[in-house]
Amino acid sequence: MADKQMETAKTFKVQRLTGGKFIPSESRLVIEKELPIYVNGEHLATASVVPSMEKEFVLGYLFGQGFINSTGEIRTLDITDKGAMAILSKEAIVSSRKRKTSYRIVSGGGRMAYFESSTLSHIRSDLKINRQEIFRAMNTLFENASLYLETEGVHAAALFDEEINLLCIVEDIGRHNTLDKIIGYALLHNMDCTKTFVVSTGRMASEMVMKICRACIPLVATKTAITNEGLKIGKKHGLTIIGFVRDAGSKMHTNMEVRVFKKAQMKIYTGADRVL
Amino acid sequence: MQSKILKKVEYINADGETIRVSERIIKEMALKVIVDGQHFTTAMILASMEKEYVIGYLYLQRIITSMEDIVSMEIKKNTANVKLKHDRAQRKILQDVNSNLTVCKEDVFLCVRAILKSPVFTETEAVHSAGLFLNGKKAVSITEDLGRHNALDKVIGAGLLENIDFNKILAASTGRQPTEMVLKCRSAGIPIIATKGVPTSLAVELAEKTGITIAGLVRGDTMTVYSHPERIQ
Repeated sequence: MADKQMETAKTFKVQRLTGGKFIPSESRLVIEKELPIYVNGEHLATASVVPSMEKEFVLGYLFGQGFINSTGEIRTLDITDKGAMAILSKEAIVSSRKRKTSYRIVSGGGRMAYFESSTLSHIRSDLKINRQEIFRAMNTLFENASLYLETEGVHAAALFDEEINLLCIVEDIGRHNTLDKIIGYALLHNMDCTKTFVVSTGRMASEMVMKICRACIPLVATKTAITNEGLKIGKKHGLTIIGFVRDAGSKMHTNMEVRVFKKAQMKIYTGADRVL
Repeated sequence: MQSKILKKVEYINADGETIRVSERIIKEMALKVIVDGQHFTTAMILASMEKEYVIGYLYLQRIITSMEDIVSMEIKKNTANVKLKHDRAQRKILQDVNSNLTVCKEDVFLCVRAILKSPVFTETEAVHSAGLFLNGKKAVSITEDLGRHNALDKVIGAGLLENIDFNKILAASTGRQPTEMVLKCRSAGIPIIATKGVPTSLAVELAEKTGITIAGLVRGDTMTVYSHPERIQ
């Protein structure tokens, strides 16, 4: 799905403690890349990402932060050695939006442009998903999370259609980046997001929920928790939020042990009418 | 537990049968930081140790060098009003962390275990923890936050309040360690980072270059040391 295959993990020489002794060993680590984003020649931000789907990332980022409202506002977007170069059709847009933007430090790390959630419209969608299919989608996400299996250092997210076909799957060091890439992918392919849903490994804090609402994706399911602000924003804009999606037999690292879930569980926090 | 950081909500439990139940989830707080009358930043944090957060953040952003640069700080509702000394100098940070701190591997396990005993995590599964340990032994501060970055800012702020020598500190974290976490430790001069998670490629390269030890995958009785292993014995 990525436009070109790039290395996403790298081998490092490490010392591993096993049986009480340090032994020279090798370890695969996820590659973190600094990607500067330039809009109309002006440096907007530098992102830390896994080097895959960079174009999708920039599109999703610009959209999620409110710098563009559609792909039509982008004239060209090139990923070069110096960074991502975006040219917008209306030059005035960026500077006026930049002025209006207040940056926030978000829980995922780094700063994010913050736009008032009052500018978001209500999500209209008649999507309905069976509970069993949400488990299936989450299992698909884990089965395909190859970079996680290799490095343990990434978040994953995937976009599915109503028939539970996998449209796009992304792994990245940041949970925000996975969402930006998925939303960028949907934008690039002109998808009707109201007929899709997202599964994620990340916590649904305010800025995550805001991005999903802005893309008009009607349902998100995460394997972990949500915050009160995430819930408030989701409720207000008609998003279905499901947390703690854990199928029977799924495993999780908690503290220093591995926990196995005997019974399937999920918690529907809002928008339960979309879940059958 | 304080209701300041947790909020009771209702949800539908769908494990076979569908029932309506309630639980407590994490509260996000938008803390506005005003420095000398100017809006400096707004941070989404867990509403605890706000003062330490602001101090740690200003320090890591090189706005202040020590507590002496802060004339006054008042936190009311969601706003922190900070007044700084006018003739303060911009904080210089060293390119490399020079510290002769060494710790034994048993202490690394103890530090990582110590920050995992979070009742907030047990209840919500939604927070990261961070802790600073003097000489890898004595806990200076341990806290939780929504973000591992924020948690680290908070304990570094607490360290400043106690006038701790960061060169003698082991920082423990529950999260993955990207470059930004290593940059924060370099900025403070912290020589050892221990986590149950893993670092990224760039983080290890930076740590190797700047003299920081990263011990990751600290779980059970195993760990992996990615850079400067000479500090762990």
